Amino acid sequence: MSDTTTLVQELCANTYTVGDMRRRLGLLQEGAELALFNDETTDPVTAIKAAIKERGTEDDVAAVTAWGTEMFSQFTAATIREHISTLQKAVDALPIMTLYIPVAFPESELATMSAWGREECAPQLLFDVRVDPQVAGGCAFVWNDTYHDFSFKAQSKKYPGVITQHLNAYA
Amino acid sequence: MNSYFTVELLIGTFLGLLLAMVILLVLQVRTTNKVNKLTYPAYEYVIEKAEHDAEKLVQEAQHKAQSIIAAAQQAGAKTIADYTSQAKEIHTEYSTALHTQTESLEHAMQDISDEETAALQKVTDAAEDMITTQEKSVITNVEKTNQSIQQLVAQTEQGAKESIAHIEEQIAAVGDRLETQLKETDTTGQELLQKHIASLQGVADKHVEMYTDARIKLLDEHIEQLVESVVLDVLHTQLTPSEQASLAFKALQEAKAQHIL
Repeated sequence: MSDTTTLVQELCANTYTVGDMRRRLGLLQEGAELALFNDETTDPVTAIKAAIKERGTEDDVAAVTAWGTEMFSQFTAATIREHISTLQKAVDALPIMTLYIPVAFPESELATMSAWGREECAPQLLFDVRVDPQVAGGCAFVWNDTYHDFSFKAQSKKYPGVITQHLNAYA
Repeated sequence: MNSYFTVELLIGTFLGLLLAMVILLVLQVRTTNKVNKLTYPAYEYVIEKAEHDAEKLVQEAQHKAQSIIAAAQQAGAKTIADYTSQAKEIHTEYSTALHTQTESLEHAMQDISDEETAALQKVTDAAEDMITTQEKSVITNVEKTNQSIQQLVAQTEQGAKESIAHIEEQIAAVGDRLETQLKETDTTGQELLQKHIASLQGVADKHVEMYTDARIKLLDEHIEQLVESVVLDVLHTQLTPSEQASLAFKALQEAKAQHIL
């Protein structure tokens, strides 16, 4: 159990969104199965990393290979499905914030926001990112089953007449 | 030995009897043929005689039937002649009686007609006299009525002239009063009208003010929509994803400050 917790912490260290997490776990499972069910494999960890490198994108490969040797060494042909299933269930139990953003943010920005969120809101928080151009100038999010809109459009609606007051003052 | 003799005797007897029967039978046949040959002419005679008698009976019956038919025809003709003569007699008798009655009826009708004509003439004469009398009476009444009508017309004309003059006087008086009242009303109406116009002016000013506010509000909404669309366009086109992320991060921090997170 504690091993799983450690592994999940390791997974969350460089993965901040639900989509990335699922895709990378899938990549890990695919690479592990390919390497472990090959009779010519002599070094499983190296074979798994090689298989992941062949199939994943640059960012995903970098993130998955950074998870450490312990992550890969635990897999055997007999236990791979059980370990993957356990990891997926643990990931599904993590706290999730649905985040609406106007454009796709760079990984570094998401990392900053995620670090802040895990510190201020919930540890091991994952963002379920959705792109919505209408939330420009801010963002919107669903937290505790409630939708909150902090975009420019929503804020201007929240304070009607502010724009015209500024325009009048400017005129 | 004795019984043997008895059997032979019996057989001989039987044969003898048989022979005798054969002989009798032959004799019977021969006798019958002879009888037939002898009786044939008599039989033929009887038949021819019977035919002759029958033909004779038929002829007699025919003669008798002819005589009965002739007698019946004679009787029928006689009866018809009797009925014809009786019918002629009856016809003559009834024609005579009908002619007599017709003549008497014509005479009676002529008499009655003469009497009725005379009575009708009397009634007509009396009616003419009565009509003449009534006509004269009507003419007299009409003349009297005409005279009365002329008098009445003259009286009515005089009365009408007097009434018209009186009405003209009354109209003049009413006109004077109306003129006076209208002058008073005009003054009061002007005051009321001025008050009404003043109140309408206030309502109109309110309506204009409300309309102006509504238009300004609508214009403001349009301006805000325009500004929003411009801002969104600028945000999308002028800001980098990192800058957008920075704004989103600030929005999250603002949500935290509002204790939403």
